[in-house]
Amino acid sequence: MNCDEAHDLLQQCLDGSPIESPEWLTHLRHCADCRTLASAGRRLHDGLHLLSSPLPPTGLAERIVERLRLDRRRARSRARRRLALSLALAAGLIVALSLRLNWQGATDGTNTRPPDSVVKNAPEREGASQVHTDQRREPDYDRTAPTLRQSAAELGEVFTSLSNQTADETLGQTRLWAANVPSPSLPKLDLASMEPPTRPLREAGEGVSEGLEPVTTSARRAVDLFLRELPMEPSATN
Amino acid sequence: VNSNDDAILVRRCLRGDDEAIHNLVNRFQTEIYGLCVRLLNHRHDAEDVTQEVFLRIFRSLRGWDSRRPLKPWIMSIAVNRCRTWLSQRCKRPELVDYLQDTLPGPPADDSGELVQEIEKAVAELRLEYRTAFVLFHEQGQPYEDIAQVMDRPVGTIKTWLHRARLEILERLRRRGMVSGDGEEHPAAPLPENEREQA
Repeated sequence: MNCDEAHDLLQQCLDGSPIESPEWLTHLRHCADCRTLASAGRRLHDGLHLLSSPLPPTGLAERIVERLRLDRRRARSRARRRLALSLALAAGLIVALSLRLNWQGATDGTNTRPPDSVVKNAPEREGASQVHTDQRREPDYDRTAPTLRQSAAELGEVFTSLSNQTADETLGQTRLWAANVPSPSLPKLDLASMEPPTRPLREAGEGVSEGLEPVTTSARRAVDLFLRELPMEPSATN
Repeated sequence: VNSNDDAILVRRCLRGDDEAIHNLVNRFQTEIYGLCVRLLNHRHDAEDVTQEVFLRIFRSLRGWDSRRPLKPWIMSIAVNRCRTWLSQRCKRPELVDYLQDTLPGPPADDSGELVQEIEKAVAELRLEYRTAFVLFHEQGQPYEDIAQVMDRPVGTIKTWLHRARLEILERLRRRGMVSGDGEEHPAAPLPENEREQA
């Protein structure tokens, strides 16, 4: 047996494996270095049994648990703040887009959104066509579209109702005025063949909503990513 | 404690069960604190790091793979945190004698001196050697678990542990804990069963 093999056996012994090797003992008797190393190994073996593992100070577990509770409370508070912030951002975005749409409508000459009472009663006033009422009840936009798109379409409907009302009032006044004119030479208006004045506005509303669709998609995706980052409540997963 | 019990305990902790959290802390605090003391050579630092280790454990508990044993995963977090702490401590300007803080007073007999020499020798080892030595000899973890904790192959762990032992043996020899030719302690270290019989 050489010195390297003797060292390997010493390591095995310190690993805890029993050694029964007469060759090793013979080698130790003849090799002073290995004998010294083996003696040191025995001292290490003895010392490791005396070596006591450091014990944690009193109350460490309670301090750890208290710190964990504090950390959980902070995490929940952070999650709530993030949620509130994201909701506020989403609401602000919607309001800003709505205002933008209103402003665009005003600059196009359709004025601002009429009061709800006007919109609600507009189709029921004199001469309102049943077609317009049906169109208002069953709008033709995609019902699975995002909420913002629906809002834009509804804005278009509002403009449609307003223009309906204006058109009806204008027609009524025109009829009254035409009846009082003495000259019968005025041509008779074919109202049925006239193109409804609201179609371009409806199309404009749909165009606006389609134009906003990438914006709404991006905003919704951003909010989803933001919400996904929020730490979930432990009970929510179990 | 088998892996199924570990998984149940972890699930309860994730639900926010206070009793389960206490159980997990009580079960591992001694080993984590002991490892931190040995690796950092400073009891106050070890206490701080132990708390941080548990914070990290609970924050990343969802990431634990329940098919693997819990203890090596936890000890790996402790080792990594100690390593980070040591690297940050090196940058601090003040010089502190960490060994004085850790080690007990002068020994009354030879066995106390032997223990003190071993502790000093362990404290002077390279961090990797020290970690492997403490995990094996003080915490009784097998090579495979140490390999998981340190994210190294088993062969590397064996090499580190063997080198750590040789350095400690050399220090014991230099400090006169062993006679020059080994005549005072001629016998080889005895296995555990033989020692008990003797």
